[in-house]
Order: sequence, then structure tokens, then C-alpha cells
Amino acid sequence: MLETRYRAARALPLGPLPRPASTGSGVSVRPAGAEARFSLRARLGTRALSDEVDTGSSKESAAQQRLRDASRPNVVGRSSSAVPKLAGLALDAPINTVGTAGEVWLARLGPDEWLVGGSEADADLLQGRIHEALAGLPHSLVDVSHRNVGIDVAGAQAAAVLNAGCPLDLSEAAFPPGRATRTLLGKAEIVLIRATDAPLYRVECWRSFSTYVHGFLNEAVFGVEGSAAH
Amino acid sequence: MTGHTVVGSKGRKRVTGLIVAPVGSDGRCGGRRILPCDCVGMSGGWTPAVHLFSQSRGKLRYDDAIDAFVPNISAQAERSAGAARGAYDLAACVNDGFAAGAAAAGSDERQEVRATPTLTGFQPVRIMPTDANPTKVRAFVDYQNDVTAKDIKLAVREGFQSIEHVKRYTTTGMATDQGKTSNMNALGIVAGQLDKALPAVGTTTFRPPYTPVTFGALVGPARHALFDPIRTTPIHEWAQAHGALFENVALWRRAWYFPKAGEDLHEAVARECKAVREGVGIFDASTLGKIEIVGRDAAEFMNRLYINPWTKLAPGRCRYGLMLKEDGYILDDGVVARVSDECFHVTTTTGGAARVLAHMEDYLQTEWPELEVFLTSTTEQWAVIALQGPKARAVIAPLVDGIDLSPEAFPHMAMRTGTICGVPTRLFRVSFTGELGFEINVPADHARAVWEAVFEAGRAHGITPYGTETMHVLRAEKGYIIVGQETDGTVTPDDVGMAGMIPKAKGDFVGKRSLARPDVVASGRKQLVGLMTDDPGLVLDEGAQIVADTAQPIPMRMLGHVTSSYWSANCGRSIALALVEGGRERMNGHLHVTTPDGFTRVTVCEPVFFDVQGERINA
Repeated sequence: MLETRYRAARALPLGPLPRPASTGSGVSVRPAGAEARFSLRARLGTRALSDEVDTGSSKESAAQQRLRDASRPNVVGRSSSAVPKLAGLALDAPINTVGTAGEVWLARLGPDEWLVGGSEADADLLQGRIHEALAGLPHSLVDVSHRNVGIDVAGAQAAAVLNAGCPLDLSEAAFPPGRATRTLLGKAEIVLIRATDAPLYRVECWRSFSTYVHGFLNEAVFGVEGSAAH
Repeated sequence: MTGHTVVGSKGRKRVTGLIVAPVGSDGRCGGRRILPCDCVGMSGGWTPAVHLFSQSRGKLRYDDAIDAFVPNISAQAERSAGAARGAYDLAACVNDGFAAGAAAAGSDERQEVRATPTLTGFQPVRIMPTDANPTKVRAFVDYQNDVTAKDIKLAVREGFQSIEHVKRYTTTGMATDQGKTSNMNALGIVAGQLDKALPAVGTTTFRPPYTPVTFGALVGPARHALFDPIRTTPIHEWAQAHGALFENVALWRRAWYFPKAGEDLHEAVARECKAVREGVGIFDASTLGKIEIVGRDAAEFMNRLYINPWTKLAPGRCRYGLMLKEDGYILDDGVVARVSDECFHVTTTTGGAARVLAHMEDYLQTEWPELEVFLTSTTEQWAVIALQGPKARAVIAPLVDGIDLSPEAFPHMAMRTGTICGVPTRLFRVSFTGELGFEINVPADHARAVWEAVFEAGRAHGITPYGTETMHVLRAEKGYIIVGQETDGTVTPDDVGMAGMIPKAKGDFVGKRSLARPDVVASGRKQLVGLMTDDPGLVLDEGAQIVADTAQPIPMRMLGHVTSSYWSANCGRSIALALVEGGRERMNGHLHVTTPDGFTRVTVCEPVFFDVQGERINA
């Protein structure tokens, strides 16, 4: 459904504009500006709806077909060249990876779950492109632009700052560019995304946890940098 | 003093001397001498501290030669060296350390360090010989938990022969040193009493930490503002600026009431309650859980999870949904709107949001993977501005675009999409107060601006912000239940008078079978009723017990308890809801409720106190 243009600018929970917060010589923690985000759920392995014929007995067989297909989540129902792609990014990329194309990022968090981000100005366009990419496949696309908040952690010490509250191994070998996963930061659930070679991480969390997550990261910067930075 | 033993000590509250005696080869103790002293140092010999090794899940072996347990098979990339594995002599210790480091680095290099030989190699002493009465002597084995040799021997006599049982019966080895000073002695005593070799008695598991850790290290950053996430809504700062006091609901801070100057809780709530029913009130309901349920089988999924039917609910209509667990008891509730044929906007209680989503995903993934439906949490995508009272429509009419607000076009329990102040909205016409009401769902980042616009527009109508306390009172006046207040995980739909929501022809749903269980269909179950005190000014205590006859002997037969109780300014008297055995058959009867001073008499009534016919909600 298309959103109408609105007059009021978004009041982001961590402030109106992207601003640098704690900055030491090794790391910066900066809330992201207003972006568009969508939560995409889809089953890649199921048949196109148009292929099913609705007769009296087919209702049961359609469910049985879906039950069979549901147990093979990575089998594409159509020919292998028809893998759904969004902005050139394949939806059947491995779980816990992220691909980027310009301002669009596509993170696969589970067998049937993706988090999609893009610029706010192009939100309607992005929504349309996602529906197009998934035409024929059962899916759900929910706007969560206001549910999620982004914080960028960047710099040589970025991994150390994150490790103050995240137990994952963030070394190059274990968390190379192109990784994304749902995880914990302190007592908050986050999605951690590392899109590029640079030591730059995007932390995504829910709105009401953003004050805590931002505060936690700032405290961690202090811990990593020590009093020398202040 | 070779060949002597300690048989006792002198002093009260501090040591003043040790009583020593020589020990003969026959084990008998000779004449006593007192050694004056103010401090006693004791040592039973050496034993390696294998705690870190054991915490790494390595396996120990018993070394007869030194009468100690030493590291044997490593479980992790670990090596023990020196005294940690029984090499006590200084030179041996240092050389062993070098060898272990070299081996870890993959080198054959060794070194030979010489040092003055350390005095080692004596057999450990477990317990000092004594001729005193063994049942009276207090020889301490574990100094931290004050466990004596007598205690350990008692444990074994009582039948606790496994070292794990002895440990738990006596608490030896359970203190912060995890038996570093006590374990070998305790094992030796047990082995001696059971006449077993020491290794056969075994060891217990050493708990971390190896050495006491400061609270600061454990707490880390989790203090003050970072102790727990404090979840706040987009309206939070506005509420703070307008004098709200807050209460905690799960991890959320919610505005509790908005006292004006000089008002206490009761005065503020009484004013807020009247203001809502007489004019219009504005309330932040953003914390309620929301789930977007999308897919071809969305209605079927809903049918299986709620007691209600959903197939025929038209897009744009709402229904109050009740969700049960497998055991037939109420899990959660909430108003659900059908957005389209394949889309439902589900709401849950604030505290139940995560639980309900997990419950839904669990069934979807493990029981019904063939259903084509997807779930997404939207709790924080939508903020909810509740507007309740006869003037609610008048307040928002000038702000809303694209929605016909007239009662004919927009009846109670409906949802429409459009814009409010230019912001896209899902506008629900629902009410938790029994008044004409709307719940304005807007994307969270726009909520503050919309709230302020609504408040401004409402000034002319005397709009009053109200908090959770007033919300609780108003819904109780209408008899609307709150899951977790009227329910406690053992309450069925029929108990709260909602059995009628289940159509006879309804297919299977979670909990359906359990509703036919003998104890669920039995008579005498506790049922929701209203209570009116003889003294209208007396407010019952929530949780107060209810009896039929105050003259009965103690222990009295309790029939139920008060679940909600408030002063109602709108009714001009106190009101209460309660769960009472066979409640519905006791209408107009009298019962007695406990008070701090005794009992007070109440009349059982229908659980609704205001606008009994329910006309105001259809304004």
C-alpha cells in the first residue's frame, strides 16, 4: 500500500540529524538518520500460486504440496535462473549475510526472514521493487521504518566496542564483510550488520531500546578508549 | 616439638594458647603442655590447586606418591605446570614451567635451573591425633564454612557416602575457596571412615570463579541508566513535561497519573476518571503489543489460535480476541482488526507481546508449517494515541482526512485507514472505557507531533491526559478484564463469562480440547462477579479473601479473592471485581471479605457498575 506524503518530519528517538556521538581516536558511535526499513518474510521454495488449480479435492492436495515444499526451504519452485533478486541482490544468499546495492541493503536473518533497508525518500519505490521481485511467491512485507533505529559504529576499535556487550567472535575470519546476524548487546536484542571491508558496523535495534543501546555503546567507547579520550 | 600433636586450644573469642602433647608409637597421647600464643598457623601439607584445570573440564588422576589429585587429561588447549601438577620443588617447578611453555610453542628446548631444594615430600596430615572424645573435639576442616571432622564423620554415619552427598550435607568445600584448603582433608576423613582408597571416594566439581571477583567486574556497565533497558514511548517526554508520575509495566515506563498542583493519587485519578466520561481524555497506549499477520491462511491461523472465529470478519472490522494455552487457560487478549482478506493487525497486552509472538511462531513452525502465513512484530512501528469520551469524535474530526467519522460510516469496533495531520493512520474505533473512543495508530516517529496536535485541538473540549491508574478504574467500571489481573493462568473463558464467544461449530483451536476436561466443566469453579461493599466508601484490598460465614471455625473455607478494587468517582462509590466459587449463582447474595481489621460485608452483583446497558460506547 502506498504511503501518502506527510508534512511532519520524523522525530527520531536519538535526535533529529545524524550526529557524531562519542568519538575517540579509535572509534565513533553515530546514530543513523531517518531511513526506510522493511521486514520481509517469504518462502522461497514454494510453488507459484497461479500454478494451483482450485477443484474440490485440490484444497487438501495444495496444503500437502505446501507441506512437502515447506520441508525443503532452499529449493526454488521454478527454474534455478528465476532466483528472486532485489536491486541485483539474490534473496537466496546464505543466512546471516548481507548484500548492498547503493543505499539498499538486504540482510538475510533466517530461512524465511530478511531485513531490508534503504533511503527514506525511495521508500515507496523500494516497497514496489520488493513486491515485484517476489511476484508469485507467498510473502509478507511489513514497513518497520519507525520500529527500527540504526547506529553506526566505526573505527579501528569498533569490534572491541561491540564486544563489550556482544559475545560474538568479531574477528575478520569469523565476521568478515557481508555478515549480518541477530544477536545481543548487553540486555537488548540487536541485528548486527557488517557490509563492507571497513571496520564499520550497523547496529539495528527497536525504538524503545535505542536509548539503552546508544548509552551502552557510548559507555563501551569510554571503556575501550579510557580516560585519555576525554 | 617433633612427635607432638595439638589436642586443644585455650582462650575465649581469641586464642591465648595451644595445648600440645607427645604422641607415642601406640598412638596414645602423653602429658599436656600449654604453648601461649595469640595466632595459630596450620598446614596439612601441599596439594595442587586443580580448580582452573577442572573448570576447563579436564580429568584428574590420583598420584599416590604425593597423595594428591593432579591434572591428567586436558579437555581444552591447556597445560598445567609446576606446583599446579604436583612438582613442588622450586627447581623442578621452574623447569617444568619452561618445558610446558616450550612444548606449547612447538619447541623441544629445555632448560636446567638449579635452586636450593625446597622442603617437600612429606606426606600430608589430614587430622591431628588426639585422645580426646572424638564426638566432642572440634577439629575444623573447612575454615570458611566452619565444618569440623566430627560433622564429616556424622555425614558418613548418616549414610552419605558419596563425596557429593557429604559436600552437600556438611557444606564442606562449598565456600569461596571451593575446598582449596579443605577438600583433601575431607576426602581423607571420608576414605578413612569407609576404609576405601582415597581416589575411590572421588572429587566434586569446583565452581567458578577461581578467586573472588569484584562485583564491579561482574556488573560491568550494567548500573544506573544501563542497569536494565528502560523502554519509553514517543510520548514519554511530553508526559514528563506535563507532570506525569510513572509506573513500571514489564520493561516499560508508563504514565501512571497526571496530578495537578496539590493533588494526590486519589484526587488526580478521580478527576481524570470524571473528565473522560464527561468530556474527553487522551491516553498513551503505545506499549501494547502489535503483530502483523499476513498471508493466504491468515484467517485459518487466527481461527486456530483464538477461541473466536475470524473467517467472516470483514476487512475494516475489529473483534476482541481471547487466546488460550493448550491447557485451556487464558494466555492473552486483545482487539484485532482485519486490514484486508489476507492481513490482520493483532494487538496483545503490553507484558504479553513477546510471549504471544513466540507462541504463534512456535505453532506455525512446528505444528502447521503448511499454513501460508507470516508474522511480524509491529509493536514499535505503531504508536497508539487513545482518545476516549463523548467529545472524542469532535476533537479529531478537523484533523482527520480521508475517513468518514460519522457513526453510520464508522461504527464501534471498526478500523479505517487515512491520514491525521497529514500522517498515515490506522484509526481504530475501539474503547477500553465504555465511552465513544478511538485509538489512533500512527508511525512512531510522528506520534509526538500528532499527540500535540490532538491535545491542542482538544483544549476547547477540556481534554484531559490520563494514565494507567485511571485506565484501570474506567475499564473496571465496565467489567472489562485485564489478563494478569482477573486471570492468573488458571482461568478459563467461561470463568470470566466469555464462553459465549466460542461458536458451537468452531473448528479446533489451541486449548479447545482442554475446555472439556472434567475439572474445567465441573460446577463450583471460581467465576467473575462484581462486589459492592455495604459501606460505599470502603475500598476493598486487592487479593482479599472471601468467605460466606464469618462465624465458621478457623481454618475458614475461602471461596475466592478480590481481583480488582477501586474508588469510582463516576459511580460515587467503591467497586470491585472478584473470582468466587459458583459466583454467577450467588447474584444479590451476601459474602464477607477480609480487611486488615476483620471482615466487611458485600453484595454480589454483575461485573458492571456504570452504563450497564452499554449505550455510551455507540455514540
